[in-house]
Amino acid sequence: MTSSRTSVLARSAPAVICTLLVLAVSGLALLGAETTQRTATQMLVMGVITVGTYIFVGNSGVLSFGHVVFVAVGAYATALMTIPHSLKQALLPALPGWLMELELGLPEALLISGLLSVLVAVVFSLLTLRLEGMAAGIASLALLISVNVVINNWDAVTHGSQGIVGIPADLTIGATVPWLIGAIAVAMAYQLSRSGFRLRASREDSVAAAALGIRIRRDRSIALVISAFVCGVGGGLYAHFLGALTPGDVYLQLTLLTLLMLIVGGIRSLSGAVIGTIFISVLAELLRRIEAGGAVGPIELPPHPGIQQLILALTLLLTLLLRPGGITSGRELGFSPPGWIGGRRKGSHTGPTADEPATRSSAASPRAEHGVPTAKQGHPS
Amino acid sequence: MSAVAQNLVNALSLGSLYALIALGIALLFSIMGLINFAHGELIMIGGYALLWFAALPFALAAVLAVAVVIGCGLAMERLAFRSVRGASGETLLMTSFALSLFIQGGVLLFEGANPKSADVLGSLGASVEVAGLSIGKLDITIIGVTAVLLLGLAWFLRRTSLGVQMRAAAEDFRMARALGVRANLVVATAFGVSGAFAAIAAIFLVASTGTLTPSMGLSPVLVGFVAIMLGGLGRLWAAALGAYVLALLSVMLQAYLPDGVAPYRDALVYLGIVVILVFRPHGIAGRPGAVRV
Repeated sequence: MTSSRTSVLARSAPAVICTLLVLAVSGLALLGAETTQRTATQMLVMGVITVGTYIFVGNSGVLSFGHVVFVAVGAYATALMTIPHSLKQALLPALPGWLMELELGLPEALLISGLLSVLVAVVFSLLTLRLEGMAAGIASLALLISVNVVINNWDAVTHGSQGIVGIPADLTIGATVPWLIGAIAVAMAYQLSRSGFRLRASREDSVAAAALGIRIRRDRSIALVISAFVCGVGGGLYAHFLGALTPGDVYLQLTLLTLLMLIVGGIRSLSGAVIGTIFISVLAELLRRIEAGGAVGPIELPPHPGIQQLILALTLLLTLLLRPGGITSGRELGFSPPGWIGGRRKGSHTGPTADEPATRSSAASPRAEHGVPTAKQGHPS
Repeated sequence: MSAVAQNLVNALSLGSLYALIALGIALLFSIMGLINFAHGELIMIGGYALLWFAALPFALAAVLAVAVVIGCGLAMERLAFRSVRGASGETLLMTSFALSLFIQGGVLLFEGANPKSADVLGSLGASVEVAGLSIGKLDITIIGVTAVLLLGLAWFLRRTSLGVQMRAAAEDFRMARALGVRANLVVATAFGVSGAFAAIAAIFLVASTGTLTPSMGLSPVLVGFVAIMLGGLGRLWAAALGAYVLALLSVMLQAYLPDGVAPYRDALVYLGIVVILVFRPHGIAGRPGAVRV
């Protein structure tokens, strides 16, 4: 292995390239009309949520339908902390006094929301992390439903199914980009940490990983907590993007959209999460315009409700059938050693070489046997 | 006393509906490890098919609706699931989820998002008095038809050659193929039976709610998943058991929760399920299959 400093730089490359990609797309959107800018803001917010979900789902390989719970907690918490005092008094008269008085700026509110989501994640991890595979997926879905029922009925705080209005809808591209970059940095840092390596080892082969002494549940809890923080922040941003929040905004549809972005982009790499978000956001916006009808250039289109869902679902279906690993197929964007470009697919069995960079062995040809020793070599302590 | 009996009858009727849905999903899960999100869309198509054939006599419309849904189930298998057969559970789940969104989008495009009303209830809307209880004829029909179907399925799986092949495939798919079980036939049959169950569930569902929307399949399919997880993976009778337990839980909580808590009933039901799973990760009657270290 090369000296540890270059290798850390080289291994952070995916985060740098993802950041540049985000900046480039945002920069392009800034030149566009107001609707384009709004779509781009939505894309950035979805990026925070998707990257947050990736931190857990991508590294652990455990499918979670429950991450929108953290988004919901973050969204409602941020909304309650940032709505002006007088408006809150009119809208939610039953709020406890201290919460009524509270009026924070967006950044503080987002960070506190993230911490609240972490608290929820701790409860979550006690309940679901014992479970494997499908049972874990169903349990997380059951929790999502439970939380949604509570949001729907807790009139004093969430205003029930009518939802909260009057959230300052002041989110701009410039205000959102730093949060997404932060989310990417957090995800990359976790991915390069020891816990991240151990978790990916357990993703590839949980029995082998456990036999090597990895305490899978502990590493999953760590990932879940970090993931919940990022999702909570994403939820707060989402509330400020929407301006009005109803229980339906943070339920199954958002869950499905997040998973769609992750899977089409490539659920096993950070680059995949970012690319998937950008790709699906652009596609969804194009389809939305077609769906709404009207003139697209010289062609006059009648409105077609349902076409957006149809094409997005088809994209997901074709991804799963033709390229199951998603656009990135588990690879990261970044510097690659010679011979990697055009490289080997997951199925090819080439032996591990001792000096391959860690991103490579964790992303391109991951097996537990590779992941664990790399983790130990990669972090001289 | 009679209130308890009344609630039990309601739970039995609701449980029968849940069991039909859960069995349709569990059948595919036991054979190919597929958790079929698109099962809800089969139910939805069944509902719309009833509407398309509404001009015909009810019995004929019902038979045609069942046929349409079976056809859709077989088409799903051929066009989508055959290519991913043998892939990981997550891939299968996401494929079915994509398919579900796709079908929903298609129906949205052709039928619109507005709810449509369908009246298939007819004379079943009345209720009869049995030993001081007022029981809807629809409830009796649901309980009776489900019982017949469950017994029929049990007979089919135990006494016919195809049924035995299906059980063999559920036990060990590769071994069964090696011994001459035709994989395509078995899987297609499973999709067919699953489709038939979905269609019949759709008829009952539409009869009791009377409305149709493109997204109507979602909540039944969630209930089905939960029932299967609750009962235990990999055993069909356990899925049916889970369905009845879930229905009992939800009816009893509805009846006996104090007023302030009642709106949170579903939250309690689903939390209860998570708690059951924490203590019995393979369901009430499931068998642990995981490797322990």
